[in-house]
Amino acid sequence: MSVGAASAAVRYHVAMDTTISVEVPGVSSEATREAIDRAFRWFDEVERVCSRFDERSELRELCAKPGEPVVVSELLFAVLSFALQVAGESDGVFDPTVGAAMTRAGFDRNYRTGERVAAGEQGLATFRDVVLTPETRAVTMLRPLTLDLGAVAKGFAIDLAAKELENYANVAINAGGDLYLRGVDAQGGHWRIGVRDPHDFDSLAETFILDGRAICTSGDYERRDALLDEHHLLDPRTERTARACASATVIAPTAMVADALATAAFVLGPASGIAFLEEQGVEGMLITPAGKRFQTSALQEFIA
Amino acid sequence: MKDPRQRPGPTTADKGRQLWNPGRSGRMKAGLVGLSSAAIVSVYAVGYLHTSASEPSGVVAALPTANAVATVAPPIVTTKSSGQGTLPGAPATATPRATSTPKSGTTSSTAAVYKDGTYVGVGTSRHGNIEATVVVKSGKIVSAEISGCGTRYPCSKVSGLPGQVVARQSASVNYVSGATDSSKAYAGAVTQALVQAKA
Repeated sequence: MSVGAASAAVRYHVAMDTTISVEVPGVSSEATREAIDRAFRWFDEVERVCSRFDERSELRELCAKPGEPVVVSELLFAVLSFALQVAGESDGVFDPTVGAAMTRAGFDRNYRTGERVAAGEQGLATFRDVVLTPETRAVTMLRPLTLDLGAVAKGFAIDLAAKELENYANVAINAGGDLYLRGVDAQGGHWRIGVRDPHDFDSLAETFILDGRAICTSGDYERRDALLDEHHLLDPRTERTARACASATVIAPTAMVADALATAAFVLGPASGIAFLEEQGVEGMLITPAGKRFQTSALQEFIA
Repeated sequence: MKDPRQRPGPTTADKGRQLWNPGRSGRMKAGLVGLSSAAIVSVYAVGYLHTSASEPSGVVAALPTANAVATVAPPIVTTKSSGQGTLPGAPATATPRATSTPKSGTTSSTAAVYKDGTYVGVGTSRHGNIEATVVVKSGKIVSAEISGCGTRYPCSKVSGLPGQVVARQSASVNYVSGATDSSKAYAGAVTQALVQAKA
């Protein structure tokens, strides 16, 4: 769905269970509207491939075939490769296999026997149970598992939409609070992006100026209970809800990176999270439940 | 992060991963940023394969090859080291290059086909429910308004358009990073309405 007044530079679309807005200031022509529509179609495309909820998605069809190599599309292979790479880099703190997430949510009993199972070799699946063969673009799940590409897929859709609009000097893409910005706004000023204070709905913890960057904030301030939907809230090292951060913000050149690393950093907590972000070459800010703030060494360059 | 040398010996899965992760063991890692940038380029070049109103599930409806090849532009940003950022000298009225949109059979709007009518959906949030009314005319969505707000916060604060709300309330930022439960409720309400509207 796309909505927008004919002459406005902002158009809206709902996909991936998210409201997406694309703003292209300074241009409002039929060609621009069509370009924005093409950008929205990337969200539809990514949803058709990566949806965890639509059983006809390529991802769900893949998950129906454990134990055999399944050749998948370029898109699915790329998103899955990236998610697994982040899992490896973060030692499983970020993990697209839902099996571990169910442990996190306390759904760690074998529903047939009632026995408690831990995530890992003998228990629920982890990212190590997914094997990729790039030569054939095949995915082999070593055991039945459920993949959740959630935020990574949304970030990738943002990046593809941004590429679709790469001829435009000024662009703002907002997909449910994950953003990519380029150029300047309708008044010719820098894009100014606020990050909500996790303890005060109406206040901003910080304001950034971004150009050619994505920003994503992982937050706990609404105290979600639907843990199956928000697997990143679990710390798989403790099998407890991650409580070290109230929010984690990452700024990176692409949204897929910002999304995945905000999730990982959120769970890792202030010290390890900041170190991880520095290691990955991105900037970010973590706020603890007590309101204390930690940030990467070069974050200051983005602060308004 | 742990020293990889301290990990237990490679499992079959680890060996499989090394096939696609040659940089892991060396110092010259591509890095996640490089990996995601490469993914954007390769997937974008393929174009839309799945999004199609009439396509049954599981079938890849490839765009006409000639069309796809002819209209995927050569790399525009050859002078830049990254794929992002403002194009040097790009005018504000830059004409976008043609892409792999098929020339016939689909409109320039969303690929899904909606029946004309008015549809209502409800999205839930822990702050209360949000109802959206979606109007479809000539197969296109013309409006998606919040028609009911059972939330404890005023609906103007919990709409699915945080950037617009903030812009109205304050001149200090264009957008706010971070999703809210309620913005998800709005999107959920519209999604539910559209399920009814799909042909």
